[in-house]
Order: sequence, then C-alpha cells, then structure tokens
Amino acid sequence: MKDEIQFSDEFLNAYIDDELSQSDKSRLLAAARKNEQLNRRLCQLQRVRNMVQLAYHDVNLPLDDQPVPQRNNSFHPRLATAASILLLVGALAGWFTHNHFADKRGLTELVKELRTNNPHTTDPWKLMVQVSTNDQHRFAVLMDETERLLKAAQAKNENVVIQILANSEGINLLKDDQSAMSLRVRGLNRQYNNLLLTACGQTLKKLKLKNQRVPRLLNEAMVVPSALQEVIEKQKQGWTYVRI
Amino acid sequence: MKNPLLGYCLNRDFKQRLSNSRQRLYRLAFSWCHAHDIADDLVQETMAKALMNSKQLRDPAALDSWLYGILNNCWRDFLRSNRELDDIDELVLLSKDTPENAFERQDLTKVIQQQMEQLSIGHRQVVSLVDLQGCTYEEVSKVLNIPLGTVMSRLSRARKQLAEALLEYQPVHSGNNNKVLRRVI
Repeated sequence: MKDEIQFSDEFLNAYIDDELSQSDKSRLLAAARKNEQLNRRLCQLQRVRNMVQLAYHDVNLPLDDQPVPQRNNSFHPRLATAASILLLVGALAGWFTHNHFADKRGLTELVKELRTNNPHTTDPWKLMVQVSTNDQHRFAVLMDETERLLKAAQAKNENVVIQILANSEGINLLKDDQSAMSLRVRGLNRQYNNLLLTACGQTLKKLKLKNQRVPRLLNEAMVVPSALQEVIEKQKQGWTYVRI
Repeated sequence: MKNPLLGYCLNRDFKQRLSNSRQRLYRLAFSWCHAHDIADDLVQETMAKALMNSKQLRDPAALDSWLYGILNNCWRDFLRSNRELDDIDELVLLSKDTPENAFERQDLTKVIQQQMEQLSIGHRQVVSLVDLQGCTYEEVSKVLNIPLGTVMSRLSRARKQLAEALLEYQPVHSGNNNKVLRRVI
C-alpha cells in the first residue's frame, strides 16, 4: 500500500516511457516485485501503450503518395524503434538489464513468480523473449537463462514453451555462421522441442531494401511476417512477453 | 568562399529526409484528426512549409521534432478555421461511429481509435507523439510548446482515460471462449 502512494501515475508513466534515471527505475522495479497492485498498474499502462500502437500500426499513406524506396535510403533509428515494437511489459523490461544478471534469479525465478500469480491454470507457460540488439553479452545471458529454465522445467516435468523472437540487430543471434553462439543456439533448439526460434521478416526485408547483406539464418529459425504483429498476436493469446 | 555544391548536396539530403518522413507525419496526423483526407492535407501543408522554411532548421538531427512542430501548427490552424471559439486543447471531436457499434463488430483497432478520439486534442497529441513517434517528454514539450510538467500530466490523464475505456474491452473469438486480452505478468 505504501508503494501505491509512493509512486504517482506520472512516475509510472515516466518508467514506461524510459524517462527515469537508473536509480529510480531500480527503486520502482524492486517495489513492483513485492507489490502486486503496483505491478498491475505498470502492466495496465504498458497495455494501453501497446493498444495505441496497434491502433495506428496499419495507417499508411495513400498509395499514390508512397515514397519510392531509395538505394541508400537511410533508416532512421526512431523508425526502427517504432517498427520493432520496443515497448512492452514495463515491469519486466528493465529486469534483464538490471544487475540481477549475476544473480541466480533468472527466467526460472520469473516463471515461478508468474505461476504464483496464477496458480490455478493448467495451461503451459508461454514466454516470448524479444531481442533487438546485437550484444553478445545479452545473447549469452539470454541463452544461459533460457537453458536454465528449460532444464528446470524438464526436470520437474513442467509445461513451458519459450519463443525467442529476434528482430532489428538482434537478428544476429540466429545467424548460421558456425560461431560458438550459433552452435549453442542450434544445439539448445535441438535438445528442447519447446524452444522456438523466430526471426522478424520485416527486418530481413529492410536489410534487402537497404542493399545490406542479409544473414543466413539457422534452419531451425522460422521467419514471422513482423515482430510487432507476432508480439501482439502472442500477447492476445496469453503469452508472457519480455524484451531484453 | 562557400561551396555551392555543398548547398546542393545538403538540399538534396534534406528533401530526401523530408520524403522519408511522410509516412511518420501521416500516421501522426491521422492519429490527431482520424480522417484520411484531412491527414493528407495536413501532411502536404507541413511538407510545403518545411521546404519553404528549410533554413530555419538549425539542427538537422532535430528534423523530426521540427516537422512535428510544423504539423502541430497546421493542425491548430485547421481547427481554428473550423472552430474559432473553442479552446482547442480541450476540444473533443465527435466520432462518426458509436463505441457500441464498434464493440459489436469486435473491431479492436476501431475501438482504440474511437477512444483516442474521445480524448481532448491536447491529450491526444501528447499520447500520439510519445507512443507512436517515440518522442521524449522534452521533445513533446518543445513540439507542442507546453511545459514538461504539462506533458507528464496530460499523458498520465490520457492513459488513465484510455485504460478505463479499453481494458474492460474483451472481444470474443469465434469458437474460443478464452479471454483474448489478459494481463501478461
């Protein structure tokens, strides 16, 4: 209750919009972990934001006004930001970048907390993790956490499905280049059939439009039409969504 | 001595960037007026003004914010020419369809757009700039020429109003009785 009063609506909105300092974010996230009501407020704000984006996602210029794609058409970062969804699930979004990486609490812990919040469901826990940046450290942590969760679920015979969705620069996670990371992703996918690998079709299309080299993806990776559409669809189907 | 070729290249680059902004401007304009023909006119006018006043853009990196500011002026001019006596920040345009009809059609997108239309224009503009264009609060403050605190309070009130209207909405899929929208954590 104290946290409810402590954090104003403006403060929570500023968190959703990434306007808070690191220390304020950490303070809020720590409180949200313990306070279900606060967590719910954050989720509601995030959902409203998602819905607004959904409502105007398909609003396009009349066809005769469409600009012709240019060979060296520069791709503005803000457009990339908008196009690659970016904006979901506030209470968890900062979680991955928080210092708890070194902690034992990982996806496994997250799923446990989620189960606690909804103990009566018999549905599988469906978790989508979106990766948008080409950051080897994040890739490594993501794979560590994913493996730990899949292993724990298997040991306890629990029904968990994880979908990794790579878009923008995160597409490099699914590159088939025989690197150690590539071999690891492929190995994990072969080991666990409840791990799905998906790549954003829009990202690949944009790379082609910009005449950039389109990476060869792992055969195990499935290309979905667009990351945004995939996230929205999966959220509608009750998937938990985390972006790292 | 100023190199004329440099001016030509800058001008060409400016036009290219302006052209690339059309889609973003159109989406923003539509989210404010919810009419394709008006949005199209607003974008055309914005582009024309931007071309005429290109020298006023001091920081090329701030092109988007600058364009949003011009679009805002065009939109205000449009509203003034139609409703001179109203305070446009408080103005709520009447929607053409009723929420009940849209609910019946299970058209989530339409429902959300309708609820956006129910926001006052000042609130709607802030939501659009932050959620659709990814503007920071500071950028919104400059584009709309309002204090940062006003940006925050408008955004907060707008999202609260949208949450109250939208989070109750539960479309029913044929053959599937599960809730379609649910809390994710």
